[in-house]
Amino acid sequence: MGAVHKEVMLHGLERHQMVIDGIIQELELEAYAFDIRLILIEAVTNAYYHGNLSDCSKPITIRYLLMDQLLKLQIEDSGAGDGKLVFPEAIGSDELLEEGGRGLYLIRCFSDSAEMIHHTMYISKSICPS
Amino acid sequence: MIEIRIEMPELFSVEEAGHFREEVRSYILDGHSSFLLDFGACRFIDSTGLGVIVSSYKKCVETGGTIRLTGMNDNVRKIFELTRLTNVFEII
Repeated sequence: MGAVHKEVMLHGLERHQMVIDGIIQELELEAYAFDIRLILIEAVTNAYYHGNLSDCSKPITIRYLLMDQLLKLQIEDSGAGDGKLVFPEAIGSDELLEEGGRGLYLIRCFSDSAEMIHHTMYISKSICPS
Repeated sequence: MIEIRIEMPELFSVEEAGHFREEVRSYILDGHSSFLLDFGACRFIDSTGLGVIVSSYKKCVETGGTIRLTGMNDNVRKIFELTRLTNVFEII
């Protein structure tokens, strides 16, 4: 599987599903479409609402690299990047009926590693050969 | 009590979640509070989709109704299982 290292920029959430589908097609990872779509939609949504504070004029950059069966993603927002972001390990019983709070947990569930450094989310996911 | 059947969209994310919220809100204003969400055509759901279903569920319960789910494929069911919402909703 060859290496692909590219980036794409978004403003707001109008095109994000189309852009994410394009990344999946370009990397020929249709077999992993559900997982990758979920990871990227959650990360981009988080960047838009919490990083860019719903400001459509502020860019969100997605960088992606596929090499040696490892997919590496970076989602960079335009926020201050000084907030501490915790990826929960579980959903507590007292949180079941909360409207939000599941996005970062789902990113953690579907990736090998996820961390936020300043205003960029770094995610890696193993891609097993079919 | 009449149970309203709602067919869930193929991709249930931010934009579609907003439409769903308004649809359920409209039904509730008309006096309905029990819904069966048909996921037969749905192949993707994210946390925004889950959140709006949970929010709608709470409104339904407040008025004596509920929300049941049906027709989920393996991927969509996995999201409900991971987030433990299988403990909240009746899945048929």
